[in-house]
Amino acid sequence: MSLTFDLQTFQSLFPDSVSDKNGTAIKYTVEDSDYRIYNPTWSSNNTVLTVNLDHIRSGATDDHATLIVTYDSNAGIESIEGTWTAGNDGYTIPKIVITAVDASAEFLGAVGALETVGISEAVANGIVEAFDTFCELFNTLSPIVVNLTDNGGRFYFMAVVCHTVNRMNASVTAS
Amino acid sequence: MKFDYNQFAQSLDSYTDMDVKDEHNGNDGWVKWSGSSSNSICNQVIEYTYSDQTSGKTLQYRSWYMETSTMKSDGGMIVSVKIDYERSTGDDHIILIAGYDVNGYINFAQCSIQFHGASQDNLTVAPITSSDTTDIALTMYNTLYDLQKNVDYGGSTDNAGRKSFAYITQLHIYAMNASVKV
Repeated sequence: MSLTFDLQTFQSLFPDSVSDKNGTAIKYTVEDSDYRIYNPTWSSNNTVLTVNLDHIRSGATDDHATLIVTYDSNAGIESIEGTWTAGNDGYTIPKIVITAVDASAEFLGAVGALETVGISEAVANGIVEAFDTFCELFNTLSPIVVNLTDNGGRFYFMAVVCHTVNRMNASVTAS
Repeated sequence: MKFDYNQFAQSLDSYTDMDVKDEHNGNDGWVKWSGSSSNSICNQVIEYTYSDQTSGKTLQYRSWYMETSTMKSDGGMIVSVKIDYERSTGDDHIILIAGYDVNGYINFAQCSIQFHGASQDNLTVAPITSSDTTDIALTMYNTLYDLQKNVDYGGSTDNAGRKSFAYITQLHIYAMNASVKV
């Protein structure tokens, strides 16, 4: 099994995005702010995708996040590591680590429903992991980021990060 | 899976004491955000009021065009929204996230709330899932109500406006439930 990442598919999943930084990134507007998503890159023999993201702040240093997503051989998320630095004051939140191995039981119940609509067990498991990872990632970031300043764009950046992981996941296939 | 934005606006407007502005503008109240020239489809908002019967106050809110992402093989969808409670000295923000399964039924919701100039009051609600409750929106209401009931936010307007977040968040979940289409 080897994994493939489809950059075009990934970028098409960001609404009304435009190319940025000489094609090395896209930029999109959402929830009253602008964000930049750099093209994810493979490492570790195409099992790890790294993506850099910016919350674009005009006239100030951008907020930066980096996510390192490790996939299993079925293209499901195995783990995520993340770093986050707020622009200007440079505040960095402690490195976050999320593992999908203990997928919550509440989502596992969905596997049957997924299979009844013709989705394979491997993909169904990946979808359950994606729900679980999204929840856990947001729930890990939320208590920290909520206190970083009362700026809506910096605050919503954590949802952008979670959607980005989900869109990466939808763009990785095993063959 | 699709998200029906017009359905969302209509649904939010249909609840008691809620009034979406410009609901007859041909777009069910969705308008381009006046604060930005961006032509992105996401640069749209609905503005609405909630008339709080207890305090007699009419409170103003804005919700942004929901961001969605779907799971592989259209096997689920995540919807997120930022809700602004409009205050004269600076808005409060609610980020609400909900997940929908392959059949379009809600399977979790969580939120994070930032109070302008009062970070000691900030709140986060961990995921409430379909295995916890049959009515995720109602459980969200009850969770926020319990977290906020003993907090004094200062003035009477802020106490009415900020304590309405439980109801506003609950209604957003119901309206999103009505708008996710398979």
